[in-house]
Amino acid sequence: MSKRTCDIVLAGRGGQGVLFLARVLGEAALAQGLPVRVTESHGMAMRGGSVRTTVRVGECLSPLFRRGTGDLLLALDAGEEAGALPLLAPGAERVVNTGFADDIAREAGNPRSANLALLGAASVRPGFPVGQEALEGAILSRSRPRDSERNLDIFRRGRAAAGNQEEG
Amino acid sequence: MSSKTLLLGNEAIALGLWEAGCRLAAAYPGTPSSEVLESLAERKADDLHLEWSVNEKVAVEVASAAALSGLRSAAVMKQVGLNVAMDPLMSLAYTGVAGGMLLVVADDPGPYSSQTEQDTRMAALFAGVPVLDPATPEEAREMVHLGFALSEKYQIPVILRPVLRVCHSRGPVSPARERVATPPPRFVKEPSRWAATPRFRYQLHIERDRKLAELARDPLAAETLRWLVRPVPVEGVVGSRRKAPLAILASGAASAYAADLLREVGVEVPLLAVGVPFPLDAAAVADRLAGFRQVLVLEETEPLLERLLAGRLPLAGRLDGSVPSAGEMTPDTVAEAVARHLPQSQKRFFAPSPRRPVAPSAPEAPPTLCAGCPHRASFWALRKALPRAIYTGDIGCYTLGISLGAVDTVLCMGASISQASGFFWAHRGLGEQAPPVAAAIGDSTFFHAGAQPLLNAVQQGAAFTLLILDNGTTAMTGGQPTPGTGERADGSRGEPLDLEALVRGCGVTELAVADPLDVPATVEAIRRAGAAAREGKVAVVICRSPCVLSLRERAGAVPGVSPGACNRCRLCVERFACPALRWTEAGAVIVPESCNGCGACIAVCPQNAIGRAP
Repeated sequence: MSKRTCDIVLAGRGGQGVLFLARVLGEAALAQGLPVRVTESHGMAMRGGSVRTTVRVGECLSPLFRRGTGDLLLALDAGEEAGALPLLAPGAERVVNTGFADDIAREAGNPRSANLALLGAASVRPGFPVGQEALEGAILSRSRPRDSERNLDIFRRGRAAAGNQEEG
Repeated sequence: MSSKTLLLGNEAIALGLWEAGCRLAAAYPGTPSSEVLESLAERKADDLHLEWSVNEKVAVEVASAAALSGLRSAAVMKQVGLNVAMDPLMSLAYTGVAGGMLLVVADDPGPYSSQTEQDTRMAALFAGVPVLDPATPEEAREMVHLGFALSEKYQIPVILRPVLRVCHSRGPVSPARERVATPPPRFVKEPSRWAATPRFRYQLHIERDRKLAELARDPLAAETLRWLVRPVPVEGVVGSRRKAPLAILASGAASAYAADLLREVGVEVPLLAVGVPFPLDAAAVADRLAGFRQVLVLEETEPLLERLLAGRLPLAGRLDGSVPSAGEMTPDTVAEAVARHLPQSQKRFFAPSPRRPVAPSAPEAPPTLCAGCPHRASFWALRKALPRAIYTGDIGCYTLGISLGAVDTVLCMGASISQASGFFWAHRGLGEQAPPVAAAIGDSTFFHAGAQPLLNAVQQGAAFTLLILDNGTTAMTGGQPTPGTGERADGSRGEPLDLEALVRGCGVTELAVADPLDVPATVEAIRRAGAAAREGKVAVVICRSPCVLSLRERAGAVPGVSPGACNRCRLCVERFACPALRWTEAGAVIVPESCNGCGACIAVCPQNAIGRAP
């Protein structure tokens, strides 16, 4: 077997910014010169229900992957973790918003950006495929101008909260 | 750094349309197709007319005239929209076109946001028009160019059929090429073609079939039949691939899943991908796959290739149960089908997908109407005013009225009104015992397919209540404008259509307009309509309030629940079920971050425990 992709699951509820996060992650990977594919869901799936998207970093033709092979889960809502588990490989990294991401985002003054605090925490995990610089560039280009500095701050606080001071 | 950008499949298709010099694109929104026209509108070109047509039939007819004038044109829709447009398509396949004409028809295997998971490739077979099946966003963009080239060469409309996983996945796409310059419009009168009578139609049928037979062997089409994984000859054995046990034949997105799987797992199974599933050069496919002991066919969602190749190759697929007959193709279904057909010696490569024990968890959250959605208030009022009615529903966000007990049937666009007629006639013999009938349809859906069943109902003498839920947008698909707003696809403004005048024009005499967020007044308006329906009328209530997603700020102050007055009946959280209402140990509470301040819940509480601070 030769797994050449890093397969990431993003799980949350409609309105939590799952699509935004997927786009930031995808654009950051591309900016770093990595091939990447991202799924999105629109329509009926976006009316407050469970939203799950996948991001594959590495050479592939489809953003979907087999159950039991995902490398990393970012759960924006603790209640959405269990439903995403079947997608993950045993021992996959899991970063779950147990409330800390909401606290960080609220303290930093933009409660709607808890998704970026979670991304920050995930980005220091071993094996995370995209570096800090590319992620911050994508956050800046995707945020509304008036939110961009605050969003960057939330992302960095998320990194710090993960208890790892290494600069990635 | 690459110069590629991450484009949604639908954005890549729009890029292709723009580059190809498309001069007219008409669409009706529908998941998963809606972003094509929106993205094209952002690209703008002075010589490009864009429109959200009122329905798909109109879109195809509008686009056809541009193609008859020698221009490149496109009609964009979802797969069930093509059902509405089959009438002009069937006929266009006979008359053909002069300029290139592309129908972009997005399929929804699963289905995720549709009433069927029908396969547009089968519709292409039925109509006798070529269909292209892209595997990735990049390929979808290239197939726009291929589609126009084939359409112009053979003077026949061509369908591009991306599935949801192509429309709604992002992949790296190279920068825009120059927009193709196209000649000015020139309509050449030829009544024996463009206005053909049945005698000429017979000839046109023969001509259509000749075009298809030639197109199947066209070099451009033939290029799309290619090995994604080549057969490897075994050293020292001449023609060894003819002894190989298994090959895969795949169309569209399924070929991407198969290619990824084979590379990941590292088994050498040849994979032949089809880009033009109809008209298929069956002889060429059979030649490439001759000698394999088994050919596994992977395609969505019907066994089209299997049927077209029947008798030529030892096939396995949907017809013999190797692939489930319904549902989306996924990497898992592909892996299971491939593993089942691998020779024993190679099966070890496929460890069964590690299934983690899953702790019992809350079921996935179902979609729900937004907090502050005026539809919830309309349905609440409907249940209050006509509690024992048969409720016919329609296609849109308000299909979610099912969970409020206010939607009993959902068939297809516009059917709420025709079915209300039918229920009235079916129960008429019961006299006084007949249940009331109440239909609910959104504004965009009413413009799409509601006016004709309404005038039919009035003319035939049916009697029922009709709610037109007018939120001033096509909400489910992302907020596209409707004729009622006067806004156009390119952002320009026209005269808003007068909905009340249209309803009256259908012959309706009993018409009221209510603000659903004023729940008591809406209940009263629907009661009066119900009384008129009992007197033999079609009585219409337009429930008019903007979609909450279109609001920039809250509709009003956030109400609160007075803990002393709440008798813990749970009616508000269970029956009204606004997402901003939560049940806690202290009883119901309103979550301020979720609440849109519409205030509809104030009238819902039987204890009057919900209110705004004075």
